[in-house]
Parts: sequence; C-alpha cells; structure tokens
Amino acid sequence: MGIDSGLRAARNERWNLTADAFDQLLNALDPNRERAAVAYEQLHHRIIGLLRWWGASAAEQLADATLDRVARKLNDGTRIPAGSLGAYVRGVARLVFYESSRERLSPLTGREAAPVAAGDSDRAGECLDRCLATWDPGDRDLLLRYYGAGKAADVRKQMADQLGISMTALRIRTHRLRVRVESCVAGCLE
Amino acid sequence: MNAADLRTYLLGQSTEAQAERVEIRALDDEEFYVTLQSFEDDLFDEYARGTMPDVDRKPFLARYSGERHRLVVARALTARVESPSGTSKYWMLAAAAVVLTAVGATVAIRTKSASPTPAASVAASAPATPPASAPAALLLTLGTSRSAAAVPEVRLPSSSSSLRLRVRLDPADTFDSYAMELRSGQGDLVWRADALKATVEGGDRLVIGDIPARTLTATSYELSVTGSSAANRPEVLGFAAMSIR
Repeated sequence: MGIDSGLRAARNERWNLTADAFDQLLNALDPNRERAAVAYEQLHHRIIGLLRWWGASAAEQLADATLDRVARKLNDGTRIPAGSLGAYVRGVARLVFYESSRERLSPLTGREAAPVAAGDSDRAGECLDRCLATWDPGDRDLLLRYYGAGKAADVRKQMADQLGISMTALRIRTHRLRVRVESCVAGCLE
Repeated sequence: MNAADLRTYLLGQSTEAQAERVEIRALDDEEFYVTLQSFEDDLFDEYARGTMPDVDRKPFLARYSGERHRLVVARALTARVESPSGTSKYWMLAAAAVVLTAVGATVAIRTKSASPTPAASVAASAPATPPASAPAALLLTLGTSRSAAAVPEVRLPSSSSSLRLRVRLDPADTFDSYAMELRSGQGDLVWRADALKATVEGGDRLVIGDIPARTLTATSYELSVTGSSAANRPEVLGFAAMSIR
C-alpha cells in the first residue's frame, strides 16, 4: 500500500474527518507529504502507547479520536505554536481519554487481561524458538545477547562499543527486535 | 530526564508534572518514545528474571498484569537466554519468608534466617518415618526476597500422596478466586489449579492447593499465584520457588 493510499484508508476509516482537516493535520506534521505520512503514523503509534500507559482499553480507537479532534481544531483555525504540537496532542488525548472513561463506550479490545490458557505458557518457549529460528542470525544473537547473562549495563556497553553505535541506538534496535519477537510469539500462540 | 525518571514514570510513580513532561516529550520525539519503550522491555525482563525490587513489583503488576502475552514472552526469552548448563535460575523469582512443615513434624525454616542451607535444616529436623500416605505441606509467602539461598528444598517422602501448598496472601490481595501454576525449572507446566478460594487461618489469608505427589520429581519448581474477580483484571500476585528432594 502506497503512502497516499494508506493515508486515504486511515482517513476513510473515520467518517467524520474531512479531507481538508486531514490535510491540515498532515501539513502541521510536515510540509513534505511523504515525511508527513511517516510522522502521522509515528504520532498515531505514540498516542496509542500513551493511552495504554493511562490504562485505556481501546487505545487505537481513542488515538484515532484524538487525531480527528486535533485535525478538526486545526481546520477550525486553532493555531498551535511551533514546538508545541506534542503538548497540544497530549492535552486532547487526555480529554478524549477522560471522556471515554466517563462514558464507558469502548468495547473490549482484546488487550484487557484474559486468563492465559495453561497451554499458552508451555508453548511460548517453543514458539520463541520457532520465531527466532527464522531470523537472521545477527538479529537473533543481538536480541539474546542483549537480554543474556551478565550485568546488563556492562553487556550492553560492550555490545554498543562492538557495534560502534550509541547505547540509545542499541536500545532502539533491540526494542524493535523485541516487538518483532513478541508479535511473532503472540501470533504463534493464537 | 534520566533512566530513573523513565522507570518511575513507567511504574506510574511520577508526579503529574513529571508525567506530563515525559509524555509531551514522548509525543514530540520518536527516538525518546522508543527509548521509553525499551525501558518498559527492561521492566518485563526484570520481572521475568525475578530481579525486580519488591517495591516495584506492585506498581509493575498494576500497570502491566493485563499484558499477558508480553509477560509470557519475557519469561520465555529469559528461559532461552539462561545458561544451558541446567542451572536455570529464571524460576527463582520470589520466595520470602518460607516456612516448611512436614506433617507430623515441627519443621520451620525462615528463608531470611542466617542459615544458607535450608535443606540441611529440614533434613535434620524431619521425622525419620512420616505417616503412611500423609501429605507433605509447604507454607509459602509471596513477594519478598528472591535470593537463590531463599529457595526451600522440600523432602517429599515416598509415602506422601500429595504436597499441600499453603500460600500466604498479602491482605490487600483480595480476589474472588485464585489460580496456582507450578512450573519446572525449564518452564514446563506441571500442575495447575483454578477457582481456588482463600481461607483464613490464624489471621493469615491463605490459598491452598494439593499437588499429587506423582507429578513431582526431584527438581526445582516455580509457583505462580493469580487472583481473579469479576470487577478486576486477573492479576499475577507473585511467585515462589521451591525444590523437591
């Protein structure tokens, strides 16, 4: 799916967001359409993360509602000072979250805790091995070493030095691997 | 913002102003957001390894106990990266004050005691011949020290039909029902009991489960206890390690 078709799909899913409002939001994120598309997806993802930290049970839905509302505000002429988009979006997300908490409109999303079937945990190790077996050995070794034996700070410093990257870069790289393996194991367990 | 600030935020312990700073930066800065998530990964990792400080466990579970898949993956990953020598220690998560009793004997071991070898104390104090078919019993308290030295060893007489686990609950952990899971050191599910009710004995809230002796072998185990109620998410209340001789 191309960038424009992906964005159109995102917009069309939300019937109450006009094309103009959506374009204004993209412009606020970045004047370049391609970069705006990436920024939009990343911001959407980060809002979901925030809502989850707040305990929202329908974070994806509320993130959509947050971005819709921000877009409408921009379309209505609200001016967000440079460098304040994050603060503004957070304020809107907070409001959307409080409203949803009051209204209890959100259906169950599957993220709520459900007892894990006894077999799930048993199979997790198998699934993990199966997932890791399909990986590039470099990625697999990186993940296992990062979470492996030894004092984490020392191991990670040594790894970052060997790879010639910063600790933050190492963190980000291994986090992406972890998300990948979590997703793979979750799929395997379903 | 340093690592401690991020950890505090993730555990829901920040002030509103601190949380706002973290959240705004997370929305503005993709790299910061991903870094924050990687600290979250570390929390799951610590929890799975049993190295999370006690003071952090409650807030961690309060925020993340619903993320069962992540907990399961963290545990599997921890087991995967442990030493292949069989000295897996991922199961050594939480055993605090542990009192071991064998029916017909007065055996008590406090894992915080000076003795580094609780098994030796048990062996010395246990009766030479337990009653035929008597269940052995083990009293566990979740949630304090997790040192390897605190892991109790249970001598299970061949005449015992079962091992009765009596798990002392935190008074705040009030749920409609409880579940216990016992896993081997390799993470294999050995036994599970659901819909257990808490009882009160001598002022302690206990949840009790009987493990058939035939399912136990001389190895190390990890027990996990989960509480469930209609109004709340199931919550992992804690872990305790034990070893069968």
